[in-house]
Amino acid sequence: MKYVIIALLLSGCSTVVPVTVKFPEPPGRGAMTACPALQKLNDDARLSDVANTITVNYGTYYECAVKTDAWQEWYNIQRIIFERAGR
Amino acid sequence: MEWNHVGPRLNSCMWILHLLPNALIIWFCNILLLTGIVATVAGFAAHRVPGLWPYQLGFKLAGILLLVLGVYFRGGLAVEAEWRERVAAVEAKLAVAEKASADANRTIEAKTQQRVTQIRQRMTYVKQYVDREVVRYNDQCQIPEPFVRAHNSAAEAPAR
Repeated sequence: MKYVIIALLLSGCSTVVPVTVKFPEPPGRGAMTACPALQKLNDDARLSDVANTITVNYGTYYECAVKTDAWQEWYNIQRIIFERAGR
Repeated sequence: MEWNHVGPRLNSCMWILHLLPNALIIWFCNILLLTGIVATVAGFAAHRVPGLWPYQLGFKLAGILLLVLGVYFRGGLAVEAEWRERVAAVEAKLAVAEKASADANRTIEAKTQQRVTQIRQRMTYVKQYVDREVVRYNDQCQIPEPFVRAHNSAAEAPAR
């Protein structure tokens, strides 16, 4: 009983500061969508189908690369903001 | 300053002061202090007043007790005020950081959107070119099955 009372009294000796740090939002809704799968060729594909499929796949890759770039830039900027706020 | 601890702990025994409004706390401390001073003085001067001297010990004890409590709570109040100032400063810094973060996100999003638009425009242009120019060679060029298999195999997404 004695220890319970001591524990209760000591719990009053520390209080929590009502400051919570909000985690930064992602760089846009598009950045949160997963990269789509690459297109495949049909067995009876013609030359133009091959060229079109390759074009779409390159486009998909570059769109995904843009997302990665956005996340890298986001991280670098958010880190600077975070470190500046902590000073 | 460490930001990775959400809600750092303060070493203040004045936790109860968080629950009360400032004006009430100040009034309470001042009344406690003043009562303590008056009771202490009365305790030491009681022997000069006829009829009061039997109570001088009680006045002294109560006065000193109130005085000690008053000083204790005034000290606690000062510490509490200092912590509240610090919290306000941290909150102000966080507000600035949140605004900077939101601004940065808007800039990144706009830049990303612009690049995606460029990529899609180029893709549309190339597809139009393929449908206009490359399509002419469809009959001249037979796509062998191993080529299709190699392409599809390379385009296969790795297992997650």
